[in-house]
Amino acid sequence: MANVLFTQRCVRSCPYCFAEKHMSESSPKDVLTWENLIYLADFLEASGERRFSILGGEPTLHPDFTDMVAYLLERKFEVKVFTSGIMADRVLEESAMVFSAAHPEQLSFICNLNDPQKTPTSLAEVESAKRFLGVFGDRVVPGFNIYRTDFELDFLFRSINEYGLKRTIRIGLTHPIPGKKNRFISLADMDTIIARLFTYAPLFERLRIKPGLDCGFPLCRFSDEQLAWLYRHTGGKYDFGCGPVIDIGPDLSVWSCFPLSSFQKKSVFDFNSLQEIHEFYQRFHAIVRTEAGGIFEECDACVMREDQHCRGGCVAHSLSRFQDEAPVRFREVYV
Amino acid sequence: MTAPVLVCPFQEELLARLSGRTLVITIDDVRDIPRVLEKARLHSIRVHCLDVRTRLPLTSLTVSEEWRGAPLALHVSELGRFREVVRQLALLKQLNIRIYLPLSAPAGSAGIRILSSLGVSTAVDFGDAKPDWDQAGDLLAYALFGLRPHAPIEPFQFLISQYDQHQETDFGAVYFDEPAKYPHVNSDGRIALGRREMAKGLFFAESIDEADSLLSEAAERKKHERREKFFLMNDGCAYCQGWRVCLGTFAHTRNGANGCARFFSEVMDSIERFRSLRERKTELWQP
Amino acid sequence: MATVILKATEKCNSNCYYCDVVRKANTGASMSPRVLETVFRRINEFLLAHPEERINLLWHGGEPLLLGPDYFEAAAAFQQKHCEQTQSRIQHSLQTNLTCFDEAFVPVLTRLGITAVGTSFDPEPHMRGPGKEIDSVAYNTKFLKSLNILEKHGFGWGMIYVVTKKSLSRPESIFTYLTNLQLKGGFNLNPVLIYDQDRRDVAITADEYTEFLGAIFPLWWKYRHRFPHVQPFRSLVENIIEGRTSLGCADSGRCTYQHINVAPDGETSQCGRSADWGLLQYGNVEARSFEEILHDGQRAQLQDRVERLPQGDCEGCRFWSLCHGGCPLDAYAQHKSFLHKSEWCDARRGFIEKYFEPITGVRYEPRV
Repeated sequence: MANVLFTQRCVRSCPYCFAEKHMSESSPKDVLTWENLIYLADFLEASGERRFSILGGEPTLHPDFTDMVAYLLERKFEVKVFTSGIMADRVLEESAMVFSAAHPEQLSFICNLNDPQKTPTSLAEVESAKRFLGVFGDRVVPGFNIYRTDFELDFLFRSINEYGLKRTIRIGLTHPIPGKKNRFISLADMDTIIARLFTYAPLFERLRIKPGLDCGFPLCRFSDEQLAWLYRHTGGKYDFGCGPVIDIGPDLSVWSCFPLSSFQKKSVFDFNSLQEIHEFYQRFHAIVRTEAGGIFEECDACVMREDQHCRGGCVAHSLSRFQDEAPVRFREVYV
Repeated sequence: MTAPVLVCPFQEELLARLSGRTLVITIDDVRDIPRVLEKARLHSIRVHCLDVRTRLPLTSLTVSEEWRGAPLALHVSELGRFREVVRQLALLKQLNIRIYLPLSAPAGSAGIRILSSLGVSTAVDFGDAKPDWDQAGDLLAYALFGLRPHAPIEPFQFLISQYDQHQETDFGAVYFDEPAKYPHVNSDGRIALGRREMAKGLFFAESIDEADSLLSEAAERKKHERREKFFLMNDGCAYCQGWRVCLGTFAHTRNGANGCARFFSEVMDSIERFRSLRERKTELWQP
Repeated sequence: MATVILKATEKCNSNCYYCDVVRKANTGASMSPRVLETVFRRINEFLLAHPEERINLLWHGGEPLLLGPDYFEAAAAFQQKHCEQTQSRIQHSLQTNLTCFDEAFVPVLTRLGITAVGTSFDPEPHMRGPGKEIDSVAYNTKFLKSLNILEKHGFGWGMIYVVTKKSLSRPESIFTYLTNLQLKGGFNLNPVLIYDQDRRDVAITADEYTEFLGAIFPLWWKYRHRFPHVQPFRSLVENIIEGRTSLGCADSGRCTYQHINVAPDGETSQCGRSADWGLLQYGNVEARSFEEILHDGQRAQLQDRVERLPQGDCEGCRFWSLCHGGCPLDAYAQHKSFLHKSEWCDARRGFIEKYFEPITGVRYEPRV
């Protein structure tokens, strides 16, 4: 799978933003052209990939957002749009009209929602997101990024019920961006946030909502009891991974994932298939893992990591650390 | 020699005079398509193509079930919003249609790719102004080396099949602009070698019967005149590497910057590369 | 195969700037029917005596087509009359500027078995053309019209482009022009040969010729599949890369006993230039047979040259078997002796070493 950036502009300024470094180094005027969209559609199709994830910035800011999604649907891609849900009424109306015929499995949204109580959000943005959820609720998986230890999920449960969202919450862990000062969960706070997450376990159970863990959670920080609960309530559909996600910019530049956007940036034209891109960035991850097995010292000797049940947390932690040391490691790990 | 296909405007009395002939009938309104087909049938005309030259975006036209079976060359001003195109796409894909889009239109090259990638045959309308040769070059690369199969994009498909590295290759037929194949008839029944000649009132025959005997020589003469025109100049198209495909067609757009030279040179290189890649493919044995 | 260069007329309707024929004391004479008939008798006599031989009869001038179609009809009739048993071994070829070619020539050229003609062309203004002004527009217009007739009737054609000082500023453009005109590249890029002082403005040196070819060669090498028949490139590829021996008269070292130039009055010589310069005169066709002419004692000088040059000017030269010292007449023009190499040898060697070998990646190794 790969994420394709339709735009490099965003309507929000989340304190944890993964994309901030990439966006600060790119032109906000850069938007995906039709030529590049068609090239990517062909490229993914030729690679046997039928999924097309759309990312931003805020992808709905693209002037041809609706048309481009309609095109991808016509090409029979399974389209997933990552959005804040904050968009102009015109775009929402157009989208509602154009996407209404698409099967929910063919077009879905991951709507990253911030807790309005904890993250400064204007009323207009909140209202806009609500309108979006009102229109597309049954296609939306709510997403939430944990960037502070006192986070709350109650507002998400309310939204799921109020707008009929899909009954899964995609829970992301915020990671450092090497070379940028964003807010993220430090290693010392891992236990705290996992413990806090599990205070919501009864609510997840009662409302029949599943937690979906995004990349970078370290397995060792979960107790056996917590893992058993996760297994029971997700059917084992979770992993403790960290690997190349593959993000592709409007200009067809490609990188492993947003936190790693400064490392080994290439062009899609350098590769013959998506598999080749994956292999390239997997090699990069392997290099980082050679330098540091995981985010904790004990990761190096961890059986769970050796057996690949856990990847050892997000490599961005290791890479961030390398930047402050004497440059004695593989040259690939430096910005 | 194959009998020429006459290109004529839609006028019923003209169709009556051309009864039994094979024609390209030009109209400018898609709403006339059913009526023209009906009249052609009435006068025993074999319709080679209806050349529909609208000045409207594709999205402003209503693609009709009545177009089924009709060979159509549809010139539009631009594609329009895809969300509107998509509503007509299923029917468009079932029609015997090629859509001509100007490169100069907003997202002209993109429009061609969009339609082609979704299985609708297209053609580049280079227009009379100076085309954007960089866009044309990108489109060429897509047409020949696109990663996935797509519907033909003209004139590239024509050139893939017709280009001969040892000869001049005229792709004018894609635009019904090849004298030996597509003489043009005006409403009086007078015959010109092409659209430009007709616009200038340059007729080589006063009637269809006369044209039958004069066409071959007139077409040959035009070909020779073209060579004489360019090869007597001390500069220009005869000195261009793209000559054997362009044949001076875009001489009027040169104006100092020769994007056309680079483009047509690239056309030849690309076609040769395309063919060599195709030849290298191993054909599996068959019982 | 012996080559008979038939200078049927010295008249020419063009006044090409670099042409030597128009500047020498030109009688404007044309070959009489009597001499023409004799030529065919001599050809028949020779071919009967040599059943394994063939003769290439090259119509040359002046401008041979000025003689008109009837003249060629007469030639065809003489051939029919005198060469009944041998005519299948006579091959006609024609070197013409094409400016007076028309439909009337088509039947007789066809009857003579001519399927392709050799011609000359120059897009540069005032290089080829009639009159004092050297009206190149008139020349080129007629030339192009004649090409149309040739192509209409399925004749092939090739041309000579003469590289002059004026060519040097835009070699690639000129090359592209020529390949657009002759799409398969059937042309020779020959250096201009200037022997007098009043046209030095167009003369080129061997180095300049090398650089001209060198500027074009990368383009030809890249696209040689489109226009393979460009000389001298094609010939070098055949000899250096493909291992075939295919050399023109100036380079083969084998012209000695193979060429006869017949002037309008029937006087014979080695070739056009030797006739113009009063060298290697072999007598009149009315008095001597082709057998005698082809074995005239003076020809030994040319054979002697081929044998002596490898120990002389060409000693140790890696490219000897590619040029054999070049054209003996070129050597004579410079040294007043045949026993030297031609100045164009340096151009050949320079081009191969500087351009051909590095670009093709093939080093020439003479076959032992």
